[in-house]
Amino acid sequence: MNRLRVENLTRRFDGLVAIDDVSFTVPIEGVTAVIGPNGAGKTTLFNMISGFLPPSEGRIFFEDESVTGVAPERIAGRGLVRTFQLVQLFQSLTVLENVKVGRHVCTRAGLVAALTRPTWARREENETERRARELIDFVGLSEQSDARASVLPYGQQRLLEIARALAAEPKLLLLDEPAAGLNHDETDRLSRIIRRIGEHGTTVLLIEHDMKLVMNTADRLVVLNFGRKIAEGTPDEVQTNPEVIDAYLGGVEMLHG
Amino acid sequence: MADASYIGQTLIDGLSVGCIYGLIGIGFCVIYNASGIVNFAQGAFVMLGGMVTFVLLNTLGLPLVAAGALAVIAVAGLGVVIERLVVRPLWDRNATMFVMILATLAAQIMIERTTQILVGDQPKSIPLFTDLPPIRVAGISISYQTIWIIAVSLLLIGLLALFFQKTLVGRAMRACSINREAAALQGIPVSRMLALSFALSAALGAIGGILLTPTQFTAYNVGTPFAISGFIAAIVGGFGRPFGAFLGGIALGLAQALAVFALGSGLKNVAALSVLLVFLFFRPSGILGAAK
Amino acid sequence: MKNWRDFTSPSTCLRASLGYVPAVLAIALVGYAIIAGGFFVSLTSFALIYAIFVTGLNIFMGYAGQASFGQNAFAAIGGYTSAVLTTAYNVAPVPALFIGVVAAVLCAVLVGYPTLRLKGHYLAMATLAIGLIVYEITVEWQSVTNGYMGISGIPPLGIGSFEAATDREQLILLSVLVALCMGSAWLIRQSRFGRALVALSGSEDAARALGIDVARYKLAAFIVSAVYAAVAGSLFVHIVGFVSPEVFGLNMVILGFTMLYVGGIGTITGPLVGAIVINLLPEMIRGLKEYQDLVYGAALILILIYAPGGLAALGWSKRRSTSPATTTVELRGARTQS
Repeated sequence: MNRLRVENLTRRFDGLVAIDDVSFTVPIEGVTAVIGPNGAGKTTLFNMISGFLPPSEGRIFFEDESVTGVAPERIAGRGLVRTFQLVQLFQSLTVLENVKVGRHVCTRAGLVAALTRPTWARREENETERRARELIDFVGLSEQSDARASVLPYGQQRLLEIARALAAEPKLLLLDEPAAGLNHDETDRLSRIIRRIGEHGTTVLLIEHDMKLVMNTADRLVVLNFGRKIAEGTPDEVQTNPEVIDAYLGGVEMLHG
Repeated sequence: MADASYIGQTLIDGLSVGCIYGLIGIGFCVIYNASGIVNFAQGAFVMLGGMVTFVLLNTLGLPLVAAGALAVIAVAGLGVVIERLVVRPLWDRNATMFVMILATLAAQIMIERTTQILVGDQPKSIPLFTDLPPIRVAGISISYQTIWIIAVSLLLIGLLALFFQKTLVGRAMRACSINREAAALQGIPVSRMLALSFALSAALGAIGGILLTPTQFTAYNVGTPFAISGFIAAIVGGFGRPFGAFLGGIALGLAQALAVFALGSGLKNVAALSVLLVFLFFRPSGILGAAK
Repeated sequence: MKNWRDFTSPSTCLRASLGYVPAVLAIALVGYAIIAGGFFVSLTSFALIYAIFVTGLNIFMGYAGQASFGQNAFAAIGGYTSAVLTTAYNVAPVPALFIGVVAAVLCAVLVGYPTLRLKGHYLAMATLAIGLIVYEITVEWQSVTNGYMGISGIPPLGIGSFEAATDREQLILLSVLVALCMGSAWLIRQSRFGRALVALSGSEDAARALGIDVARYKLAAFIVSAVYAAVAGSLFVHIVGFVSPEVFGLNMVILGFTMLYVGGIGTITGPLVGAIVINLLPEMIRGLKEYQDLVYGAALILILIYAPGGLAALGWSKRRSTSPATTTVELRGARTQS
């Protein structure tokens, strides 16, 4: 079984075809990256996979179950969690609270439990706190756990968003351009974190422009251009694909970062 | 038959009130288009139109036309004052839409209270523009005031159309409404456009108030129902389209008149509010669809 | 949510503590009223009732970042239900209050579904319309509500044979209720439910991506807010002994917002502080009755401009993006925060 299977996915916007008959699979193991020049439709693809945009045609299967047209919150409940290209933190919550919100799908205490505080709910809160702190440590933000999310510098906001997504214990993590706006060191750190996530059994599917990050992190690549898939395979296979080389104007240099 | 002419009468009255709602609704659109703000002080401008005219008539003994004209100018000026003192500081501080709505609402209350303190609680009125018996057509009596209302409204619509299409300033305002940043880059003084939009909107409201006051009394607190009706007009017409707002106003006036006819005057406001809710729930882009 | 590790120097310690000062003063004032008795008592009672109303408002607007101009509708439902049941049907106050709350909840569910799909000024207007419609109903449904004349002779609060008949007894009862309400607001904020609400105000998309059913949580916040409003409405009619449509009119909406912003939107103690300040301040300045609304309006505008965080936000250090009060309300073409 593959973690994710996309079949003949198409999305049109008023005559513009953003994604054109794209099919690919994401294996359970490791990190898969979707790459392609700007405007290739990568974020549109993510939006469809995560339920924020219905496809015009085609189907999406998460662990062999259809998630085509399913609402984002239900898809998250099944174990598919995404991050956003523009960081979407909960600005008025602290770093710790942001990550705690990530645990939402794994917990169930509601309004009544909030007011009556039964034992199971308190245990759940303690567990949430413990896991949240673990994840904050994992991404290296323990110093700031009680700071408001809004005061974090950009690179750390990115890491917080990833920690928060991990709190949901996703089976598949969708990262939308996680390296955008990061400097060299931050990108390295990110790359290591992504690899470790992949090693812990969470499938990672990411969109990226930063070729160095992709080449260091991804086990498989899917290449899009003008909404079409033009290649799929290991980094080596893709690098030598003439269509891919054509698509990237920089030619071979681009692919070697 | 008595019934048909009664319906006709109701419709004419509804049409005339509807024109006023339409003018207020256009005022909402003008400000919204220029700034994205919904100006809840709009109702106060309507009230002040009639009130200031009354004061000028009775204290300075000016002729009606002069009093009216001065009132419109004064209220337009007040519009700019509100824009400078209340809206601009919030705008500059990146306040949320809700905060701005709340602030304009607070401004409306302040205006109402000040008016109450200055002129008292008693309802006031200004004389009819033309003191002649109404025209009777097919058993329906159309007062001259109604004719004035409809005529002036149509004239204003025409002038506004000309203003927005043909004049440089008008086109600049439209540019602001379509894309503020691009307009600013083109050298259009966006903040002055904002002030102008408030002045224009206030003037429209004031004129509406002056037109309507001879037929109904005015008092310090008539502003709020008018603001709500004007807002409903703007929503029904498709928020952001001034002329849609005018049509929305007419539609609302007619709907309200029919509701009064069918259900009695007690439920007049409920009818109007229900129209609002229906549109908000099912067709927020209004009859004509939202402005592109 | 302050970083306790910031208490490294006396000055930061002092600044952070400033935030608590208004709350402490407010509580002290209530205590003084209880002990001293007299004229102060009824004023403070009103303040406490409003504190309950504003706490509900705070949950919907401060935590979840939504906008409602019509919460007075639920106060009216709670108040009138209590009034009618206790006068015309001889129901005891406490059961009547519960029934009023249930009625308000039903109304909130009915109205909430279509309304909460709206955004920005559409949401604001729809909630305003609902508040106004309820007002009109209280005026027109004369057979039940007696229209403008109102209903009088409403018995005071009491449980069983115990009746809070004197002003002081009422104040003590109200203080207990307010403490319960604020306590529950705190419990909510600390919980998974409360975090989800605040997440809504931060980013609805991110909330959905993490499995939060945004529509359901908005409705939940709306209903919770309606419950507080209905309780406040019911308490009000018992304390005053009389109800008329004006009590729950647009005035209540404006006052509620003023208190919410003065006290500090999104905070726990804000509603209490705001309610105390707004109710008691005019008394400090005698002869200001006529100008009251003017002063409120001006004060609200000034606070919105210069101190949108309110009194409870005193002492917090400058931050780039602030409380839920500055999160986005989406509007076509309007200013947005990125």
